[in-house]
Amino acid sequence: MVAVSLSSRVKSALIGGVVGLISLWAAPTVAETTNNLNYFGLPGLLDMPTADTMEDARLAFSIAYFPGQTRQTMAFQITPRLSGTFRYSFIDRVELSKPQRFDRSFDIQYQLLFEKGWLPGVVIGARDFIGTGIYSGEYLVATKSAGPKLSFTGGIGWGRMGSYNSFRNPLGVLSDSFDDRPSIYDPSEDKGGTVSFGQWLHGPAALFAGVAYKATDRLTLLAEYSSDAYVIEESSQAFTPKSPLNFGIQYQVGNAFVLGASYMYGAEFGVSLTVLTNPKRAIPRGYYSTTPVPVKPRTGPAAGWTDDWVSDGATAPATRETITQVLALEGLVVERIELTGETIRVRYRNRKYESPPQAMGHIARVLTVALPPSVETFILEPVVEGMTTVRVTLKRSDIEALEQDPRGTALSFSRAVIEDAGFARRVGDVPLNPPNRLSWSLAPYIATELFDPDDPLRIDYGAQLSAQYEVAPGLSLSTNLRQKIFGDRDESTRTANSRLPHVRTESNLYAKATGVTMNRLTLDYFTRPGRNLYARATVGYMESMFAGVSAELLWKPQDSRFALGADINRVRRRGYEIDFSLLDYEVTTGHVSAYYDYRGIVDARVDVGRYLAGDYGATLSLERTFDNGWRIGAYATLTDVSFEDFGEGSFDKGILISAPLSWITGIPANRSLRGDFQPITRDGGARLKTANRLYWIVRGSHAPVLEDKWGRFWR
Amino acid sequence: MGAVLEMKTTLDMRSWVVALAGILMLTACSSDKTTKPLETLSQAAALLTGPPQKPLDIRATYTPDLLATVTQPLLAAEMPSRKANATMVVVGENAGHRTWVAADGIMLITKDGVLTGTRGFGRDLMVSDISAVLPALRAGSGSAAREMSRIDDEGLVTPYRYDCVIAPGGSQQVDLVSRQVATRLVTETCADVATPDAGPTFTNRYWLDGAGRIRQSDQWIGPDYGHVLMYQLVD
Repeated sequence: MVAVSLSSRVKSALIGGVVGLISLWAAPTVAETTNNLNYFGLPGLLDMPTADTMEDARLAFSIAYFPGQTRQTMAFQITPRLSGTFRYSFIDRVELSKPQRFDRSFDIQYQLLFEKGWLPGVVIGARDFIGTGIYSGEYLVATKSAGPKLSFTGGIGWGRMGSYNSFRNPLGVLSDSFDDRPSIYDPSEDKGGTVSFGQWLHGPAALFAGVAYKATDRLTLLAEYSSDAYVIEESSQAFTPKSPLNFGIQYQVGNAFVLGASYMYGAEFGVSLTVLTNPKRAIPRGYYSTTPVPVKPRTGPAAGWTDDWVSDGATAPATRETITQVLALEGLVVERIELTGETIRVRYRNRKYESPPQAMGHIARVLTVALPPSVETFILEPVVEGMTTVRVTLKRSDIEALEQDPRGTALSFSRAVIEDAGFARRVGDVPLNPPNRLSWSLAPYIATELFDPDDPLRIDYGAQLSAQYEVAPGLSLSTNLRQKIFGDRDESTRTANSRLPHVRTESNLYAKATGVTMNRLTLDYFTRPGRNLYARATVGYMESMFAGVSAELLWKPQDSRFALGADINRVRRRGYEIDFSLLDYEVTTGHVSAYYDYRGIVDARVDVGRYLAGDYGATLSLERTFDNGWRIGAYATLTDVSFEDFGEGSFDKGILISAPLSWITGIPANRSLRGDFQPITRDGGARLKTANRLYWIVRGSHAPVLEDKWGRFWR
Repeated sequence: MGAVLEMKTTLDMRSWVVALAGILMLTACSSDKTTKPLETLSQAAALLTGPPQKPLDIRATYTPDLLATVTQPLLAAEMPSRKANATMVVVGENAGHRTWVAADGIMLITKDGVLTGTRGFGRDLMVSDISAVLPALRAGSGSAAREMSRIDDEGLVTPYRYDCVIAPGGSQQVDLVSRQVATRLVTETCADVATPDAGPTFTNRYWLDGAGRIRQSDQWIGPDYGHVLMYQLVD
């Protein structure tokens, strides 16, 4: 069983990857980073790589074109040393049956050495290591600069990059097996997707070289000797290189764009465009003003700060009312206030600030203005989905003393007492101002069908109505209705050929639904069944393709970066009209999950269990997380479905990106834009899409994340 | 109160991106009062159309008669790098730090006239340690260490330390609309401790009256926003 042995190797490699990723974090002080990306979207010349590095967390989108090849690459500098790409290419006439091949590929590369003193930078990388292999090749490359403007690159390539003027693999001295490269790419077959360890560094090798000259800060001239002979393209007469030499220029416009032009292989002219972003730097340079009310320190001798006002019967209600009104202006919804002579306890919902400490800092300052001087203790309890997750106790005298203290950020955190709010739903005071039970929004939506082999991008545009009605604390009814206005997702004529139950591959049939579709109609209940425990139960139509019942339990101590969870779901497939109808297929699916938040930088998660098609297996997800709410990650799922039965892609994998809205607009908003890119959607390893997974609801208000985000407390 | 002007900014590339993002993503309505799509859209639209470029001297918008009616401290501020200006009033005072606010909520924080913080800018100056700067300014010369803590887009607050040289710059008349004030100019030239060889990072200028109070100043906020000019129109 080739598939089984390979998948166990994949598993061990994935697990090794987690350990490696975390242990190799040790960030050197990177002196020089580059914005010059090659036609594969990673630091380099034109087709060839260099050993330069992008800045940490760089997220770069590039398009490179020369006749026959269009490559669209998303590259991410995962750690200071490790970078990866996802690429979608249109390659002309390499397939007999179709004029264009729509090809998905992934690269990964690792910086072995940063250039320092006499030592060159050295990078090892694998191109197209998980796709169909049309671009597959590995490289070891060194780059050495000579002065601030000039840099020289030389390297050795294997696979596609070892195809021009190639020689016997020098690794052949280690083992004869290195001499041959098992070919993975087969134009007649549409499978691919296996990790191609078996061919790494195998087969003939070839040398490449190049030079980059930074004429000005913005203009770079490039020349390279490519070791790619374009064998596949030449044999299908799609493209014939006439020379191994490529020449190009790149010009950076502003901070965000790099334009390029080139003369490729003595045969064709090419162009490229790179868009540079970084989650660490917001698009707007300034956020719009939601500025805090400044602290109002108490005056006069403390002996005069009596709690006489408690007994007058009017001050306390008026104060609660004022606080509620002022916080409402801040976008914070007060659920309940308990007020005594010395202590105030505020339960509130934060829908505005991505950073929970920012909400706490704003509340604390409002309290210094609104409260009689005898109240010294502020207890803040954010409520999420009806659950109190954390209790933060602040001293008023600390807030007064630290507002303008140069060490105020660190001191205000260390003096705050952060603890579990307790699972008992003690109702200490009557709800002062019952929050609006109904919330709704009407907004446009875009639904995409990516990477269809017949049409790479199908899009529907429409309007969606989302509404939530809070029946009781923790219990709510939610719906999401959509009306397509125009789009072409229904034009797909693909028929599902999967050997598994068609749990996801008939998405195009669902796209043909007419009229208003009911993408969600659920009753959700959230509660705290015990210490460190959180629970959710959902019944209804949870997503466009499945309906049923779902239950989830999460164990996460307040001060822990580790969590365990489990979910169990009994679901039926929904009718293609996305209405109330159901199909016959019914399945029990569920997972046991372990979560680990490594220093607020990497969030790792393993799910083990049963998937929608009834297959058993595990999913590994790794996300880089940023304190401003950005998340960029990848996941892979291996189940007992063989690669052959799985079909194209061999196993389920994908990339997810979540960008906070405030990062894009500069306007405070506790909302994110999420993108989930699966190179191919099949039926194996498919998971139920339940909204409101407990981990991400709870995680944000626990002590480790509060510490990571405390910088915004005084903002 | 007299006319309080909003801080206006003119169009740049980022504004386009923000405006387009706002239009694309927030053409929505909802029961949620915390995001106001219409306001967002109008902000976006305002950024796109932009105010006409005016001469930046905000003092030109005031007359002595108008200022005579103002009974609370009033600060006029200009930011040349953003072609923005604002009239600001005191909204809070804590341990000698005054928080000034403009009509649109933008805030500047000063201690004895020296800028220690901003709010509402994005990469805000969160807090400063200027305890050594103040005595040197009053003395008119000397050297002082200062520390400025700025927040980045990830929400991380980082202290930046500077070594500063304070030097006298001679006598000057200052125009504060309702009066001409005789002042002495004091400059503060600061170099980043992390890059001592790079030369001065910024220079602040302060115009102090006979009592040693700062009546006018030109102070550096940080690399993203450059300088702010402040005029103490009403004490």
